Amino acid sequence: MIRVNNFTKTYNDFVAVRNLTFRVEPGEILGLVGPNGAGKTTMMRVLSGIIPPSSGTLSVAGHDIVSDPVKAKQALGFIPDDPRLFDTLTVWEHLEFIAATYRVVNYKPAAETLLQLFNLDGKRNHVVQGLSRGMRQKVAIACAYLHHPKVILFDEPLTGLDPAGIRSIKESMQERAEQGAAIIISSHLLELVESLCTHLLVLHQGQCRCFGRMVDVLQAFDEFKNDTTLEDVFFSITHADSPELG
Amino acid sequence: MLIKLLLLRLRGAVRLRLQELKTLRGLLFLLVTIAVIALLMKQSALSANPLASIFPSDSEQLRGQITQFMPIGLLAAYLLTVFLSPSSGLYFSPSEINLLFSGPFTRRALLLYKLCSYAFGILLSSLLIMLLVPASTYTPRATFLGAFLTLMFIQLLTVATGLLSQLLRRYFCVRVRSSYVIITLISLIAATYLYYADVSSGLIDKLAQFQASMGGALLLAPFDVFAHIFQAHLIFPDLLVWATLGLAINVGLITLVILLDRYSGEASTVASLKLYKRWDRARRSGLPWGAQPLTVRSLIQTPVLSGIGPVAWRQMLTAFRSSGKALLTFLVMAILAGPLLVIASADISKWSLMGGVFFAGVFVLPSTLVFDFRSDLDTMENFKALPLPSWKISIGQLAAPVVLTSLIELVLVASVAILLDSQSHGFLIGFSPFLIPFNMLLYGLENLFFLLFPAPLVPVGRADFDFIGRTMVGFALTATILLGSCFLAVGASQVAMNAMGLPWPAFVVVAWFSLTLIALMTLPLLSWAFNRFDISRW
Repeated sequence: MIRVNNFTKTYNDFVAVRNLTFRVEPGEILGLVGPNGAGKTTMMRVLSGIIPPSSGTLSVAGHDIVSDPVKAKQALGFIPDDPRLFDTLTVWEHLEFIAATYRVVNYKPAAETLLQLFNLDGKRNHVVQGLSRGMRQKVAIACAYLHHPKVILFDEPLTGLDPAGIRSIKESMQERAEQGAAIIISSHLLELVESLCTHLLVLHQGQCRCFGRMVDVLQAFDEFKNDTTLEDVFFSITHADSPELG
Repeated sequence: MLIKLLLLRLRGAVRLRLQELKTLRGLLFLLVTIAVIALLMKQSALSANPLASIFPSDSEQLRGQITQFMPIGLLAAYLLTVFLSPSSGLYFSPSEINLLFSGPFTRRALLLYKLCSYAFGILLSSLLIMLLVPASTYTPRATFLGAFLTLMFIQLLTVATGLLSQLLRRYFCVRVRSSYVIITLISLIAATYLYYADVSSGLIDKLAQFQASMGGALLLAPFDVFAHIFQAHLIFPDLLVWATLGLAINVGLITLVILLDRYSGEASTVASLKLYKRWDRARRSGLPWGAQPLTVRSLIQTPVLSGIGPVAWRQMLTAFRSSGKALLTFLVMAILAGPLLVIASADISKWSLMGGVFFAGVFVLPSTLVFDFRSDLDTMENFKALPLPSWKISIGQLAAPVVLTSLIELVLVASVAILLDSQSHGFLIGFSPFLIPFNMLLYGLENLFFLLFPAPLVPVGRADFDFIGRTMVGFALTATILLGSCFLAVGASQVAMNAMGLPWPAFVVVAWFSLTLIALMTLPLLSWAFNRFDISRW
């Protein structure tokens, strides 16, 4: 569903991401972790067609993001780390806008369900500018879900959410994956990644330091310590080079 | 302590400007700004009256007229400032609220700090005004002192008005909107004006009559003081007496502001935070009238139109919700243009009307009606992620400003047409359809330059040479390309007419198609610039 081959992104002389290769199949949830400046957001933005890659190929649902961007984006839902919504539109108008843009036929029942799922039904006519950070995050996620994307990219999805919001979004992620979506979650919350993701990719200084199934990664590091957590793995990898798995 | 902060901030601003000069772009824009100011100064030094065709050529007579009508002009400036100010006019940035409000400072010290920072900015503006006003009309020292005290007066009066309205809201639980107060005031002034109006006299006579009346004299008395400062030739007694009076009025206003602020402290802080949010949005998006209600009801369904519809619909909503006041102001001005020119007994030709439309179209409306890529720097990521080809996004983004600008210009043309003879009406009917391709080309160019050289749409501080220079270069380029395109379209039509002997309606049709074709040529360029726009570099 998601294919990334030898992807590199440079800004003048600075290499943000170097020779990255991985794939995510339907139903899989890939956790993308790495220290600040590792290249996670750059990778998410390139994969969603917002910025072009410097080299390499990236495809979403079988469509190349550079040569066939419209079809690739049609299959994609992207929730950035700081969702920039349209200040002057209401919550409902955002859903209406997405439905019209992605040609979602008979979107109203699905939109109503999403509003209820994220406790936004009381805010449907509120202009988003007046909403809290967490509420705006929920609106962005509702917009991304509305057109039933085959691929969903989350960049720090739980920032600013209340406990109820965190639970509903975690459940919805699992539900979407079970329905066949390929999901990437970029986050610094290692517990979230460990509990939710089936696969793991650790980026450090723009390079892949570890990629594989979550259980395999944890098992590989179990040799050094029993009951290894993702936090142990993360610090081991980012403080010393580690062999690539999978 | 707060003086030290002011000085540090001043040093920071100077450092920022110097850093800008290190880049080729910053240096070029500074040179353009200096060149334009030097040109204007030279013009004002050579000519006693650069607007001799409109105003009296005799300096003495001109000075007399300016002094006579300056109080009315200042009153209008004050009303406009209050009307356009989204809040009290006295606001603190979030960093000031977080760091200074919790610091060991009295409220009075904070207010004086804020007013001092305003004074610093006004000092710079006054310097610029002094350089540009012809020395033969007013002496430089009188101009500088007059500009400084007058701008401070307008600022303080606006702040006092804002605080007073906050106080009324708090103690009388009424929501007094500044705009309602202003509309009432304007209505009262208009009623007084009409009462004194003599149908046979011109606008100047009517204004003089209003000024001479008891109500007019009372209303304009404080404004009159500041007009006299500009007029002062001798340091003593003229300048000293009038400047002292002006200073006393300003000190009185500062006292009033401190007094009013004591009763509206919290409301003022809340208003500051709200205003800062809006200002921050305006800095990013260029939409200065950002006041919005909390909830709104959507009336029209999103049109699809193969993907162009939702983008255009979103910009239309932004236009009405964030700049409804500006749109209304332009529309009312366009409607009133004709009747006002009749009252003023002005003589106007179809060519001066076209000139007016060109001026409004190129210089006034595009800098205010920014409902396109220019207001979407913050949300460019969303557009980049949309499953739409860039040309469709570009058309959707241009639709709202093109339609709204054309509508305002059309109303202006219809309003002024009442002054013209029936022969000119036919000309205007032929001219009106050109507004759409003309505005398409105009906004296409504005957006193209913006996507190629993205920058904030409002200046950062008063001495933002990068902003001033960029604006001037942008204006010059846009105006040149627009005029060139119009000549090209008319030229092509002329050639076709000569070659085939076409009648004049066919000439209009060929010219219209030529201009539309040129306008459409900006679309692929705009699409290319949108694709090329890298949000990670912004």
